[in-house]
Amino acid sequence: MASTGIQARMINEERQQRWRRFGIYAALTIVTIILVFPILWMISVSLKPTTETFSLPPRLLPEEFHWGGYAKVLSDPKFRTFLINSYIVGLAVTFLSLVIGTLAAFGFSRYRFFGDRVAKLFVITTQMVPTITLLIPYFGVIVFLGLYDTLWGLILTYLTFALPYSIVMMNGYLDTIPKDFDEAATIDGCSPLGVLVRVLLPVAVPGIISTAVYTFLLAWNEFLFALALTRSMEMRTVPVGISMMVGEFGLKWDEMMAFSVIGSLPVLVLFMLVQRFVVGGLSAGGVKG
Amino acid sequence: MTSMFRHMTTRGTPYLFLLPGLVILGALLSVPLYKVVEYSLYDNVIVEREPTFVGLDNYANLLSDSGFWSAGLNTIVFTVGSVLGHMVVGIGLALLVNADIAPRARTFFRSMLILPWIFTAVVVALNWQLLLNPFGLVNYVLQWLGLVSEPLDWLGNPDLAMWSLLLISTWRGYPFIMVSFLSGLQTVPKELYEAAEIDGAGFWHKFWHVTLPQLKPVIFGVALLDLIWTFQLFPLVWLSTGGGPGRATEVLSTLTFRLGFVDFQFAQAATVAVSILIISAAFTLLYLRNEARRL
Amino acid sequence: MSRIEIRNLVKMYGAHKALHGIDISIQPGEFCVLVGPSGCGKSTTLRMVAGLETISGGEIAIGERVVNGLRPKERGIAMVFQNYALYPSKTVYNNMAFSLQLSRMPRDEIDRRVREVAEILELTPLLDRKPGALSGGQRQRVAMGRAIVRDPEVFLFDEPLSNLDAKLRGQMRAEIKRLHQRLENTIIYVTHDQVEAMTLADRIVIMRDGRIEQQGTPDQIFHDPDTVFVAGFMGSPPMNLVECMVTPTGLKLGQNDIACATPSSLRAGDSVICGIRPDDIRPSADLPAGASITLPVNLIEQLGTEKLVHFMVGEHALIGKTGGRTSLTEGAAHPLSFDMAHAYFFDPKTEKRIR
Repeated sequence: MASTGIQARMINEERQQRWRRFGIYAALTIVTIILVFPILWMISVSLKPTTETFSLPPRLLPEEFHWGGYAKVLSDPKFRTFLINSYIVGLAVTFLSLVIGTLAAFGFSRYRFFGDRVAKLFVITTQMVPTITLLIPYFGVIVFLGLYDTLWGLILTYLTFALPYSIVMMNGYLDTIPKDFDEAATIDGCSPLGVLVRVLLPVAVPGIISTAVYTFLLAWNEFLFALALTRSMEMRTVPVGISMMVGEFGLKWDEMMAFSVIGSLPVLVLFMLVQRFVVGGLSAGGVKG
Repeated sequence: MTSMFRHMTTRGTPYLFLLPGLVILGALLSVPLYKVVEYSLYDNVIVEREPTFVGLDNYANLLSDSGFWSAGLNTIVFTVGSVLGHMVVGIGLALLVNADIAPRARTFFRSMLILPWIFTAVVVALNWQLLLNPFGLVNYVLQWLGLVSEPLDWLGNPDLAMWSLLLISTWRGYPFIMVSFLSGLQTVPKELYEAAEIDGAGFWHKFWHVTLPQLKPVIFGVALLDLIWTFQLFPLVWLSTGGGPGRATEVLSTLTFRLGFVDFQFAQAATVAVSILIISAAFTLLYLRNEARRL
Repeated sequence: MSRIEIRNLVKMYGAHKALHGIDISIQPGEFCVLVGPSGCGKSTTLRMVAGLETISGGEIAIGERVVNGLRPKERGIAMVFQNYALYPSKTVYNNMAFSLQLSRMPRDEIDRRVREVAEILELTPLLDRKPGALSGGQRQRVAMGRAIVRDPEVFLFDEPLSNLDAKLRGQMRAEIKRLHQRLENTIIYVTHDQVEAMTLADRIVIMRDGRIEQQGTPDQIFHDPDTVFVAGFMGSPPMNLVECMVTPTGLKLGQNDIACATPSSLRAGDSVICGIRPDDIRPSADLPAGASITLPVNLIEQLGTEKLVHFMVGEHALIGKTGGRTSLTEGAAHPLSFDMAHAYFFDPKTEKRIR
């Protein structure tokens, strides 16, 4: 009595499912190619001489690999300075915010105390303060402190932005570790700091990694304050360095894109290596885009 | 004595852990926030030693300035458009990635689709300037498809610039929504979908009756966060269009920067900055109410 | 009321074969319980009937229809899940009405049916609540109500009572039984709890490693097990299963001879697995007719109305039973009597019953 439509669908469930899956794969592949294309194009342009940047029809693979852009950028000490500055600032901010943030996160995660909710809401609020609002007073304060055009000025500034995320992300991660660990360690004679360092941190390695990567990313990519709080070439970071090339080189797309690729490589590699931690950590923290 | 001391330290322990973090955050935020409000009440701040107190004059001037209002309007368009774009693309991709495929493939696609999010705004802006150039790839493809007859100057045309900016912002911002929604999806019990399937629900019914109600808090929180951050976004706009052509894509954040660091009118810049602060404070309160419920 | 035919059902997960050709035939109105240890394939079978898992091979028919390839909603089934799977954002009423709303039933008809079922399950006062505000037992009833309103041909239950505490589980068990008597639907019920299986089932299907070990009425399963596995699985405490030697007069158990009749296919000197339920090992005073041996008792568990007697025969630990008032001393030797008329014999190699 079954209708013909139903009959037709009765043949093989698993074949049906394979087709549906194939459709999903096809859709995902197409969408991914489109969305990743700008990045591929950047690499492509970095490998073409400027005369070919806009040549038609466009080619993803250059006729001949042109390494001139990379050679120029890598041989110029100016760009090396940008990279070194970005590393110094990024690593310092990551280290400081991880240490201070983990301590605070431990306090939030493991203790109930007077004012804990207010303190937590305060930390969340600091994530929301518009950076552009802080720019002008920071400029004033940093100049006042004599930190204008120093990397210290940047480190201090970035710490303000990175710290809330470290606290929130680490707090989220520590909350997933059962309190039984602490209690067992306390009975074994551990001090609170001992509990954190000897018991929780070894378990929290994925959380630490994701927090560290995210903070590094934040510091490495920051543009506004790096632009406003430094002046000399010796103190510029990678994003500002790239942005200055636009004015400086006009239409040298190969060099700009080569440096864009080189400047993005550290975060890209870092992110790819630990991405399974990072994605989990981000969702625990609820984090900036 | 010792026992009393021990008692005090036990009570004080959490505060000791929190102290460094809260002091740094408190100092690095309260002083500047106080300063920015103070600046906005003076004239010729920073550039001169002895700025003159003008009260609320800066605010009065600002409210009568058409540039401020048009920047405000642009900000609303940019923010609402961006958040909508992020949500639609992000949620759509999350559903697609979460479909019934091999776990390894899922990880691969997720990693690829996250990429736009990890590049610095400068690189993103440069990239899109290249692609949206009159001689660039986007125009080539559109002409090849027959959708446009002439190459368009996407970022240079005042009528198109905001749309282009929204495109760039959507590309840049969807991964955050996608990742948040994806991890939210993992928390929806599989049995609910199975029950819905047995009840006769199709894809949309399942999305509407199971996924959305389950993820409503996540969606609300993430959308609000996105809204707050996009509202004050500076680098992407500044580097893509610089607020131009003319003032076609000038938003409040680029206006602040221009007033301060191009025109050196720091007091006026501070005034705009405070107005940004006030508006985002309203959204922040909304967000905190949502968060406080979870704490 | 429909019959269910499962013919040569196969499930592959990649290269792994999870079900090796299952055949079950369920009569209209029959209450069929699939039972077995976790990973035996019972839930997979149920989910294939529901249409939640694809069918790799074989056929499932509900009523006269082969349902392979049909979507769950087209199969005329309703399912109660282990975690209830109630829609948290919907009220009890809307949880129950959802499937009817999706099938575009007229509103007043939906209302009539929901209220009628709510009345049966005593859910009427709870209709406006959301699942979050219900107790475990109430959620369980809503989950059943959601299944009943659809008036399905077949009910599927996937370990529905495993999230309830022991007392509530007993109550709900009785409630499900009563409901079945009233509605007379065909039911497939999956559980790992042999008490549920025994009390609820018209037919028990015991599964192990993707195969059916034995199927039959609870009586058949309990009193006439086909294999060592079935014998050991049903009953608590489980049947004593001891490997022993056949002698011309009976069995040699450790150093002790037990006089009994053995199946005619066994020769003296053969090895055999002898199964005997704790109920059939008693202190000799309780059971004068059995084969009596004096053995050291090493542990006594007081259960109230009865006591479990743990003792050793050679290296084998065995369990016997006695009344709650009988006093035995731990560590002392007591004469214990084996009721060999109710002993079972199994081949040690194939683990099959020797009759």
